Amino acid sequence: MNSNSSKSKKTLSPEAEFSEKLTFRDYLIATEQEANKPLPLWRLFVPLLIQTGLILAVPFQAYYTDMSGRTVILQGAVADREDIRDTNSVLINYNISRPEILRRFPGWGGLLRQNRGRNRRLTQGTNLYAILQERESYNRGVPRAWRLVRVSGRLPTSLPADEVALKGVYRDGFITYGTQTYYIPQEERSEISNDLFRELDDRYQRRQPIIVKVKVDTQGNVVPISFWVGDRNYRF
Amino acid sequence: MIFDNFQRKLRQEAQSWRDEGLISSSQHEQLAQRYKFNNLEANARERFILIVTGVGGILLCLGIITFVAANWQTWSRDVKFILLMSLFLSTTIIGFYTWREPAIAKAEGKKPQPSKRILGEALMILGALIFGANIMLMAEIFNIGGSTSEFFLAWGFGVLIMAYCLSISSLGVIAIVLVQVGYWTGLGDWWYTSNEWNWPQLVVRHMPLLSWLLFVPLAYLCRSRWVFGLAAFAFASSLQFNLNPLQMLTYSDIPPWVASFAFMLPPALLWSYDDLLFPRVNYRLFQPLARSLALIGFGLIFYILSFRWQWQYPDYGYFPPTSNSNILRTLPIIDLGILSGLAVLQWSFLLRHRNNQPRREVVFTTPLITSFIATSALVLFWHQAFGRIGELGIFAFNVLFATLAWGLIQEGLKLNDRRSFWGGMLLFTLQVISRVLEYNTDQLFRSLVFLMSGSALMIAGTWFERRLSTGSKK
Repeated sequence: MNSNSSKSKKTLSPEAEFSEKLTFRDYLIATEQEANKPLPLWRLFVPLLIQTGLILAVPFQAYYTDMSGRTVILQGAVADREDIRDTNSVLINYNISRPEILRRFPGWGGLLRQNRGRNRRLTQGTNLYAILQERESYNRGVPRAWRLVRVSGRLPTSLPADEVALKGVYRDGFITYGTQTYYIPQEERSEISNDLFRELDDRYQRRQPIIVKVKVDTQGNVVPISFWVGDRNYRF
Repeated sequence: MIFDNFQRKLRQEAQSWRDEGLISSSQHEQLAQRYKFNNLEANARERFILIVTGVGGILLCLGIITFVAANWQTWSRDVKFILLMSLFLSTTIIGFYTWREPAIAKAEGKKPQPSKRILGEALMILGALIFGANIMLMAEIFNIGGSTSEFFLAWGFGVLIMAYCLSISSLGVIAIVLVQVGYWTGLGDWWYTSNEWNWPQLVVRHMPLLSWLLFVPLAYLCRSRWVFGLAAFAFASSLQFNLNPLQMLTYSDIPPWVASFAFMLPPALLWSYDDLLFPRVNYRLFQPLARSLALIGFGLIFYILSFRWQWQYPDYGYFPPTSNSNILRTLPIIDLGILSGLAVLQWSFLLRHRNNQPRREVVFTTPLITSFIATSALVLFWHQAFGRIGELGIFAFNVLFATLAWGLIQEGLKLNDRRSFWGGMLLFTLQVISRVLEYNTDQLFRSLVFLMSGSALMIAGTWFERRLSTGSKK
């Protein structure tokens, strides 16, 4: 080679020299052999195990809440009766899902201030905690819903023994506590809609009250267990 | 690939040449090897099988989905669980074995079937999608309500682990996209509710650091520039949105160095990026890409900050900080610390090894880039710390933007590089037009500017192309 290239060779390190001559494509071809070696089996099974663990974490969370959580009874109503025919599911709204009810309880003003909500409204995605108090009584075998005591923006660190905090998220004018959708199995469909529509005839225009049993863990996460329409019980 | 008419014709022609005695049979053999027209039938058969398998696979998937959807309500929880898990595990395992088979065949010296590699990779991607669907359906079956960002982050990290272990770049790209979706959906929640400390919030908060540390090494394992580019994008964009420096320019009660850091850290980190800092990497794979990205980053930042309204108090879309959304409290100090440390390390490495830079530094030398970073950081800092210097700031960033455009044009001319020349020209035109439109000049002047810049662009373009062609002739 000429003197020019030999001069530049002196100043360049071997790596840099190597890099200057090679393009990305050359590198890919040069490392093809190395990169396409058959992989050992653990390279599949370790990530597969982790992925399986991630999937299993979901039912585990449900079982954990079911086993260790506290049973809480909530009052609700079916949000839209047309749902049953169209989507095979009902959306249940709790009483404590409605901001106009929560507004009357202590802690709401503090929540609004903390939340910098404008127009006296919460911003989308706000987390809040509804604190409920137990009521030990039954009505024709159906337990009575717990009583709302106050609202808080943070998870309370200590609560009296008969109180529990439920974590909710504010979205589109409602506060959601866990899942509130019940997917109706085929065989129950006519039964459940009969229940709802019979009640509709009885006291027209009034929403059919539903009593929902949920489990709540220490973090306030809510998992629904079962609900009563009239005196009939349905499991989630 | 599909239209292999050329090979077919060539084979016909070559046969007739051989029969006519134009070429010898050994020459015919050489031609056949060079253009690979000996086993056209086998190739066509293989391709046909691949297409049929693909179409059949899609139909199969549709059939399974329809069957599952039809019977979903009637199955019990256990049946659903077993079905979902077995579908996920079988798809991924079959995918892996199909994907690995050509590599084993090659290692044993047999003829590998490259189509199997594609099929296996497709199955792995399908497995990644089924993985996400499984998480979602499990949550539905077991009545667990999680946030959207939680779901996407879990999905993305699961796929990321798979991409790391198998070094498949398509899985890496999917993982980064999923994590990004999780980040964007989680960002809104974070802005409004900073009183939560669950894991998605933590991930969102430390996204810049996580994306740099998790995605960049993946680019080496996958040997993919796409992964590197996406990693850099994820890092830079999440840093901007976590620190939100544009709003901060007008705040007075936050530390004055935040905006400087947010704007200058990504280009500084990308410009000084050197692959050789990694152990066992002896080739500068991504440095050219990182430097181009740094220049693009400079362009974006200078352009945005050269507008007047960035430097004034905005009248709309601005809400003053309250105690809950106190940015100071949520400021990712750890991320900034580690990333700045990394930047300092890279710069010291860059300065130590100045003599053997691989790329010829023509215009964008280290001093010029340093002055870019120093000037903008200083101006932003001064603006926040000592007093509003809006006018000076606008002027400074316009000058910086023009310098960048000029530098790109210069580099294009000196290296005969079409892309940087055109990039510079476009930046220049963009600046002229933006300034003319911004400062409400009268119609006549506007039309004059448009005419001038249009004709200048045309003249410069044709001149450059002619220069390029004469240069290559020489």
